[in-house]
Amino acid sequence: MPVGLFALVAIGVHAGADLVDDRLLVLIDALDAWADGLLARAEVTAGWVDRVGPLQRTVIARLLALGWELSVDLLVVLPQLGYSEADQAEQRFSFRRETWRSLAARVNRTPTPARLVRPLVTAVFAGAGAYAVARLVESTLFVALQTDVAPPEVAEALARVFGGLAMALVLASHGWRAVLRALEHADAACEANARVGKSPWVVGLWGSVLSFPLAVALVLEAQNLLALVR
Amino acid sequence: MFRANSRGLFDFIAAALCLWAAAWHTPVGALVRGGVAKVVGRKGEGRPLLAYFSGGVYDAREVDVPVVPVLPEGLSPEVLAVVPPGVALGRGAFAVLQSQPAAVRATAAALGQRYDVSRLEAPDDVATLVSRAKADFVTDEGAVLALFAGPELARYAVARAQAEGRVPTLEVLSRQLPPGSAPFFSAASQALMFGTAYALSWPVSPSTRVTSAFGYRTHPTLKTQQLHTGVDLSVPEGTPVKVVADGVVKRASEDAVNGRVIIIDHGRGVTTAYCHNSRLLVTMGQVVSAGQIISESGNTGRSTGPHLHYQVELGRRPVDPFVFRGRKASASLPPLPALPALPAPSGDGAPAAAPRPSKALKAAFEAAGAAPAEADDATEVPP
Repeated sequence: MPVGLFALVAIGVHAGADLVDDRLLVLIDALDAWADGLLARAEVTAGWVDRVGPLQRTVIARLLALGWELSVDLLVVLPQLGYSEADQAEQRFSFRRETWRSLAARVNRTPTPARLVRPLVTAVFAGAGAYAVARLVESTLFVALQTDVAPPEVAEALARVFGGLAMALVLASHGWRAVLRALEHADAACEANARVGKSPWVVGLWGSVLSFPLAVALVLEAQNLLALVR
Repeated sequence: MFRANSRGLFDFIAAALCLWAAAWHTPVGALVRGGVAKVVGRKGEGRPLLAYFSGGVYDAREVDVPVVPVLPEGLSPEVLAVVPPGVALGRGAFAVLQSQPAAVRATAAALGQRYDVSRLEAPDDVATLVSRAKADFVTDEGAVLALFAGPELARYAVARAQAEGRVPTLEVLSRQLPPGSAPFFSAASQALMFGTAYALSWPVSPSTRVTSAFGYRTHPTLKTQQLHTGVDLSVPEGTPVKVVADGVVKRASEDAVNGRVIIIDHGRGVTTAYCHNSRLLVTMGQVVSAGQIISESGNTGRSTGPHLHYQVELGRRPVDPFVFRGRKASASLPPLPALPALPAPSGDGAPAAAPRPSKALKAAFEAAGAAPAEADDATEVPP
């Protein structure tokens, strides 16, 4: 289960990073044009102009996107591996009985960036991840069925049904757990900071700052989900 | 907090699906797969890590593969002919089709039968097939994908892209099919890039003298060995510069090296650049159509005389603009061993020989019916 959660959220993060890499390229191009203009002013540095070609700029933009994605994986997705379950006996005798209600109460009382942002971005990533899973299931089934097993129309219909089922299954089994686990981890980190006298407001700030734009990019592309009902 | 109830079959299936998708859809998955392949001593089969961000299309890697440059029948390889976009796309697709495995060629032949094109032995046959198939596959991209992947996969990908409310560009289509379809998209991507490049006209009079060709040369002012990423066309200041195909202005700016420069994005991974202008007549983001005057040539930036530096990029890799205009094509078709578009050091460091203008050039432009530059004939201005 923890590995499944990690995988689900990581797919969503990649979907986000894949959306922003084009924007990064535009940024790098503009930066390069500015730097070329600057370098060209002096005879000594003029030789450096155009040293970074369009191909290198593409590689740089993609490297940045990859770095961004891996950073979010490290800071936001990795804690999903800390998911653990307790059976009823363990829960009954545990020192502190945690429920989603108690977590929500603390979010309400001390709404730190981590407590607010982490579950939110994880929900978006989990949704995007589930959609990617559904699309992979659907397309793979279609390709497998349409050759010999079934006519293309039947294969497409079957593939769509199974794709939709896969998305529902993943969200029902993993989606909510991923969100709750993100909240649990953010809450634990905030509490730990508060116990040693540090401000809980700075907990996981990098993770929140890096993951939020990716989540926004995904929300802006949410029209993809219409494909589920068309 | 979580109760121990996630041990059911459905949870297991969901976790397995997530892992499967992550293994194929993320660079992290690629890293893990690569690691596992190394441990078990098997050759890794994943894409390069950075290819996970391109959608696998219009990539510079696709310009590396062998391709057969195609010439229209009856034209000398010296002729710079302009062809209408549909015919050009046929040439691009035909060129790529020659380098495909037999199974893919059989798929294309089967599609041909479906659209009453019995043989795919010439670029025009492929052009006819693509234009007929476009009615069913909505865009050129869909039709070209059908040529390489088969009609069922292409139709499915187009339908799913439309269901998402998107225009079925190749990048959008590539996200609709599983990773195993990557070779089809790579071929379609190549065909569309080359097809777009074959349709480019010339920014100034076709008979304009070329004073510095594409390739490695000793830079005239820096005196260092550098790749000359375009061609220098000798024109007097104030000569109207025409855009070589429809597109969008990606950059219209000035710097001390390129002078007043315009970069046009023609889509499908093809861009053109026009440097050292004296006056820019378009602004960034503006939509331009083939033959439109976008600037007046000049001598701005790092330049030793009035000229236009014209550059073509495929998949963001600079290529020799003449490659798709016949000059370097082989007379024997098919096949050619490799794409001659890649820069090759000239060895002695001297600039490559300047191609001579052809007398038949103007006639070829006019015969093609495309939008050629005004033929003000050979302008002999020192660079």
